[in-house]
Amino acid sequence: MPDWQALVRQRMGTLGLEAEREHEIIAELAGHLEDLYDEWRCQGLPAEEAVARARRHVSDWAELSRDIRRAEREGGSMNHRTKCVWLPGLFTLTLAMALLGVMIQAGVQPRYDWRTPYHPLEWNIPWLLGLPFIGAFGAYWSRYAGGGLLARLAAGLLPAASLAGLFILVLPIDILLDVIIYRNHRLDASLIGFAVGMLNWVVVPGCALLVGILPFLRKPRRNRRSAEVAPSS
Amino acid sequence: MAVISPNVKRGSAELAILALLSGQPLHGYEIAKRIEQQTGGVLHFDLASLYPLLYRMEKRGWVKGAWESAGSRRPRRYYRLTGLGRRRLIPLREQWRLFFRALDRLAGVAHA
Repeated sequence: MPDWQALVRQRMGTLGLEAEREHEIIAELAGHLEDLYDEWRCQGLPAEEAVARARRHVSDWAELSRDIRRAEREGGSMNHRTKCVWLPGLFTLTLAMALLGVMIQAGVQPRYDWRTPYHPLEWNIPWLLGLPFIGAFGAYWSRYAGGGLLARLAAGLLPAASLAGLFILVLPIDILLDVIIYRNHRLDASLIGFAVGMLNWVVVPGCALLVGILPFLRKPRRNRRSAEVAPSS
Repeated sequence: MAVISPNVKRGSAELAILALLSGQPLHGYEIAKRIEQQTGGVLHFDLASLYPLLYRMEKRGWVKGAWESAGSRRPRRYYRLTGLGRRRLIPLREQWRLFFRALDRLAGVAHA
């Protein structure tokens, strides 16, 4: 029995892909030829004839090589999750933070001391009013890129999720600093601060973002005209 | 036996593969065999027509391939339908249903 991988590699030439991917494709195509060979052998074909048929199975290896290259280039280097979650999500996060910065700079919102997030909730109201539009933008972008329900939610809620991550990261550091520097740490005060911070910066903004996201969680309305034309690949 | 023209085959190929994979994960050789068996040989995929299509569908996020080996058998790349592929299958089925209904109204293909 021939070395099927060597045969495929020799017939196809180099695909110009990453070495690992190229090896994977060659192994897969070689496996297919081997399966065909085994099938023909089981049907009673002599080994030499089965090998010869397998060799003739692809009439134009150069064309197959071109088709595979074309297929592999489709979609560029960006994968589906990047297009549906990370790009719209990071843009949503940037917009939300930029809006907050602009509001503070313009004096619409007071400046915050991030280590003491005990400010009243109503301080955030101007920023919160803008968040539904930002959430809607993230969810719309994700849906446009083909994102499913979870992708749209994730893209729209990334600002609130990032702030949640920040708070979860900051709490132990805050406790540690208090213990080391002040040697007078009160856990209950830290936990209350954490809860208030989560409410002000995560839960309420998350709800505001969700208001904008909700209309984009529904399936897009089908275009009747496009459904009536012949399907194409 | 009547042979379907390549253009119609190309348009139907995605639907055939997605529908097949909605049942269970399969490797490339199995996909080709099942399609041939289940269509009585009317639809036929050879290596050159199957793999570029599978790779394109994988790039689009409709299917996901992963190497698996069962027992002493050599590893094979099994393709699974993704959530996106499952969602793609629904309108694709509907489009083809509409297409055949329209063709039937026009040319009576269902009764030919």
